[in-house]
Amino acid sequence: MDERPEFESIVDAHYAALFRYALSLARREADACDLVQETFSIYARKGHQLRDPQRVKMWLLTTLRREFLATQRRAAHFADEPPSEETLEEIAPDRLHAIDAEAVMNALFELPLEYREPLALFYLEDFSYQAIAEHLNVPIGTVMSRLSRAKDRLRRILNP
Amino acid sequence: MNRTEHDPIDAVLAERLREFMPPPGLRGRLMALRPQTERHPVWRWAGWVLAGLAAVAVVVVAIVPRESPADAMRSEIRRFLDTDFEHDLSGRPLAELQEWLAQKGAPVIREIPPALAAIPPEGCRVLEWRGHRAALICFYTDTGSVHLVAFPPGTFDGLKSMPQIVPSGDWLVAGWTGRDADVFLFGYEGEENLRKFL
Repeated sequence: MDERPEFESIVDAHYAALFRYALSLARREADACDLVQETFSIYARKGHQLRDPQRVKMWLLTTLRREFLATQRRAAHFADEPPSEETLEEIAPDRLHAIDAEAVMNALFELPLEYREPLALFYLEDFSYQAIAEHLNVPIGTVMSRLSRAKDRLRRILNP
Repeated sequence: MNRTEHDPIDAVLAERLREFMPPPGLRGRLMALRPQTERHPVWRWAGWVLAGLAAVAVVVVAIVPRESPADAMRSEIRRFLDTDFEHDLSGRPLAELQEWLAQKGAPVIREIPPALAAIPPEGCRVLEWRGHRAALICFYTDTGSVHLVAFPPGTFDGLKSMPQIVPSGDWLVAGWTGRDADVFLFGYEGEENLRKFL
């Protein structure tokens, strides 16, 4: 008996989160939509091979990231600037609540990919340091330092 | 409590980002990708078509010079790889796939190229080709899928210990002979990409 959730249920459960993650990587809505579409296209062909239904979301996120990296390599336009050392910035409480979703997303777009990616997983998916390290295939210490710097940069952008 | 809720600024920023909604129309695009489950009617007439093609193939084989066994294998395997085939076993580390394949009597490749061995495999499958049992292990890389196929050593003549790449349709196939198996690596993302995994 096939206990796999229906394709429609999987799309409804995960496509919004996948879109937000794709947008945080690709920074353009059209590219993000293409990435989500390609990810679900792969799922439609190969999702039946997944043994553990609990791992579907992680599989989708990993597949989307692979597709993003593949398109980046093909386009060969990694134009992100290198990271730099910074100190933690605070956002004034009265200003914090005036910031809307678009402003935060635009601020996220300004970060280099290596900061943007762990931060998106932390904020959007509530991933632990360990889960981010496994997803990005980097040491946990690297995740901690990148997240710290990413948060710092984001706060600087939002609190000029 | 979520991790982002430990810090009030994190909590607000996470909440704002999660408010971001997909554009209308994306869900419809995705639903159009749903797999077709009703395949039986297709198979019914596909059987007749396949029987017809087989009859034509018999005639063609009788009048056309025969290709080498290695060429025939490359051609038949890549046609198989182009289908929506299923793995016998997936989501396991390479060592477990190797062990499972060995239990099924398929060849074990003990000298998998390091660049491939570093990638978590997608899955494996036992193949039967003209009376030979072969092992298939698939890898999903950042630049597309590559497929390793192993036959018992000495199945094919003319293989060298250094990989030789030959085209087969839209695919490229690297072939070499090792201590334990005649090995072929199938890929379709160009020679440079295939060489990365040799």
